[in-house]
Amino acid sequence: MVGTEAYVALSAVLFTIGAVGVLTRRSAIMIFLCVELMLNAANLAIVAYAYQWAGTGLLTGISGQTAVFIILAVAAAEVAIGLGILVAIFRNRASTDVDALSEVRL
Amino acid sequence: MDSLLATFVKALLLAAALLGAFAYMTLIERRLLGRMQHRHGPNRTGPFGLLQPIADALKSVFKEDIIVSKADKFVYVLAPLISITFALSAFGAIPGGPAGSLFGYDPWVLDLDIGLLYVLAVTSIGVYGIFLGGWAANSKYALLGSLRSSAQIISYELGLGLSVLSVIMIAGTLNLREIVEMGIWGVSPLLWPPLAIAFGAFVISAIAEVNRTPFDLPEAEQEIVAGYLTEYSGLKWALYQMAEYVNMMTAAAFISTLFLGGYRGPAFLDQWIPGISEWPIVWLVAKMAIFMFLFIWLRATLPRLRYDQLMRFGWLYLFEVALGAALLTGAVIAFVL
Amino acid sequence: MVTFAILASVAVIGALGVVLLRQPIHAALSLVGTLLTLAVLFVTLQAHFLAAIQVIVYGGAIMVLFLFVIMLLNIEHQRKEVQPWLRWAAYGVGLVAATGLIVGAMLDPRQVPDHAVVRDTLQGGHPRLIAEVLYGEFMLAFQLVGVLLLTGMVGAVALVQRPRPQRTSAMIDERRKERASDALEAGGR
Repeated sequence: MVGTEAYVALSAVLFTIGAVGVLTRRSAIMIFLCVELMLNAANLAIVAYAYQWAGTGLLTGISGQTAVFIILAVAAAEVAIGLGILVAIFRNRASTDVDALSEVRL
Repeated sequence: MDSLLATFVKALLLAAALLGAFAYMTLIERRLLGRMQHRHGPNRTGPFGLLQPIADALKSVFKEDIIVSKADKFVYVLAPLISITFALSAFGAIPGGPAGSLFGYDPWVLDLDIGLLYVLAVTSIGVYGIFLGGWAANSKYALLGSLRSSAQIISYELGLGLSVLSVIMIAGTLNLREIVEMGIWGVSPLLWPPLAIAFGAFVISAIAEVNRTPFDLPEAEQEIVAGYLTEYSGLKWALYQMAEYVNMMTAAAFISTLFLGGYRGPAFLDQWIPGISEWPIVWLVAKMAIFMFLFIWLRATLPRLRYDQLMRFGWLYLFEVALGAALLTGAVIAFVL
Repeated sequence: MVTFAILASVAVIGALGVVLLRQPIHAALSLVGTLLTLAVLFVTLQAHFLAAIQVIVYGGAIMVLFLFVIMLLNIEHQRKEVQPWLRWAAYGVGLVAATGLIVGAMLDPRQVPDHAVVRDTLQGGHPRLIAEVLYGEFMLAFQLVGVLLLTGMVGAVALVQRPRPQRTSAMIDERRKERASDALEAGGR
C-alpha cells in the first residue's frame, strides 16, 4: 500500500501536465479540457489527504470526500456554462482560436 | 467473499451466458414478432428455426470487414468495443441468488455497497459507443442519428435516476442484495402508490435507455438510414447488436432486482418443494423473461414517438412524474413512518 | 504497489494524450480515460461512492457534453499551433515544475495511516457517512451548490436563445398592404 506522498506526487504531475496544456493549446475548447484535467488532479489530492486524515479523526476523512463531491457538482455547472459561452461565441466564427478573441483591447 | 479466481471464472461464465442468451433472444424476438403479426417467424433453419442464430453469426463473422475510407480508424474500431464491454460489465453487480447458494459459491460477480450506482455508472459510459460510432463513420446521417440517440439516452437517465430514488429512500441502502433481501413492497401499504408510479416511470425510462420501440426512431427499420449503425457491417455491427440486447437484458434484470424482489421466489411454493424459493438464478431469469416479453410485445404493438415528442415526454412529463413520486415517498417516510 | 504504479502510468499517459494529441476528439477521449483511471484510484483510497459519482458525472455527463460540442462545432485540429519555441519553453517549464513538485511531495513523508482504522472509519466512503456530513456540517455549501446549479441552468438556456424578430405594428401594416396588392393583381388578371 503506497503512502499519501505518491498520490500527491501523481496529482502534482497531472496538474502540471494540465497547466502545460493550457499554455500550449490554441483552441478554446482544448484549453477548457486541460482546465478540467487540473480540477481532477486537485480532487485526487484532496481524497488522498482525506484518506490520510481518516487514520486519526472521524469527521475529517469523510469531510474531504464530501468536499470533493461538492467540487464535482461545481465543476459540472462550470462546464455547462463555459461550453455555452464558447458555443455562443464560436457559432459565427470559423475557428476556435483564442488569439482571435481580441475585441476587448486595453 | 469468493476468491479472485472464482470471481474471474464467474465473470467469464456470465459473459458467455449473456452472449448465448443474446443469440437466442434474436430468434425468440423474431418468432414472437412474427406470431404477433399473424405470420410465422424464421422456422426453416433447423427444427423450429433453432439454428437461425448460428446462421446469422456465421454470416456476420464471414462478411468482409469494411472500414469506411474517410473514417477515423481508431475510433471506428473502438466504438463497438466500448458498447459491448460496458454492456457486459453492467450485469456483474446484479445478484443472482442468496449468498452461497450456487454450489457453495456466491451467485454474483460483485457485491458492491454501491451496486445500484455502479450499474447506472456503467450504462452511462455505454452511451459513448453510440455517438462515437456515428461520428467515426464520417457520414452526416450517421452523425445526426447517433447524436439523437445519445441525447435520448442521457435525457432518460434523468428519469431513471429519479425513479430509483424512491427505492433508495425506502431501502436505505444502495446495495442491490440488501434491497432484494429487504422487500420494499412489504414496508407499508401507504408506500405502494408512489412506488407503483416510480415503477412505471422506471420501466418507461429503461425502454428509452435501450432504444426500444416506442423510443427507437434513430434506428427503426422504416427510416431511411439506420442511425449510428449505418456505416457498420459484419462483425462490428454484430457487436453493436449484442450490446443492444445485453443492455435490454441488464435493464430487465435491473427492474426485477429493484422492484420485483430479484432472485427471491414466491414463499408459498416452499410448502411443496422445500427451499425452492432459495434456488439461485432461476427466479431472476423468470422475471427477466417477463420483461423481455414485455419489450417485444411493446415493439409489436406501439407506434414509435417522433423525436421531439420523445424529448418532450422525457423532459416535461416523465421527469416531473418521477420527481413527484420521489417527493411523495420522502413525505410518507418522514411524516407517517 | 503494483496497482498504483499501473494506474498512475495510465493516468499520466492519458493526461499526456490530452496535451499532445492533434485531433480534439482523440484528446477528449484521452481525458475520459484519465477520468476513469482516477475513479479507480478513488476506489483504492476507500472512496467508492465518490468513484461512482465521478464516473456518472464526469465520465457520463461532462465529457459527453464536451464531445457533443466538439462534434457540433466541427472543430478540426488547428494547423498552426503556438510557435515552436514557445511550446518547447512551456514543455521545459512543465518538466522542471513536475520534477520539483514530485521531489517536494516525496520528501514530505507522512505517517502511514493504519489501514484497518481507515477502513473502519471511512467504510469505503459509505453514502450514509457522506450524507451525515453533507446534510449536517456542509448544509450551507449544499444549499449554495443547489442555487449554483439553478443559476447555471438559467444561464445556459439564456445563452443559447436566439433573439426573435419583434412583430411591430409597422410590420403588420406592411404585410396587410402586400397581401392587398397581391389580391388586386390576381383579381385584375
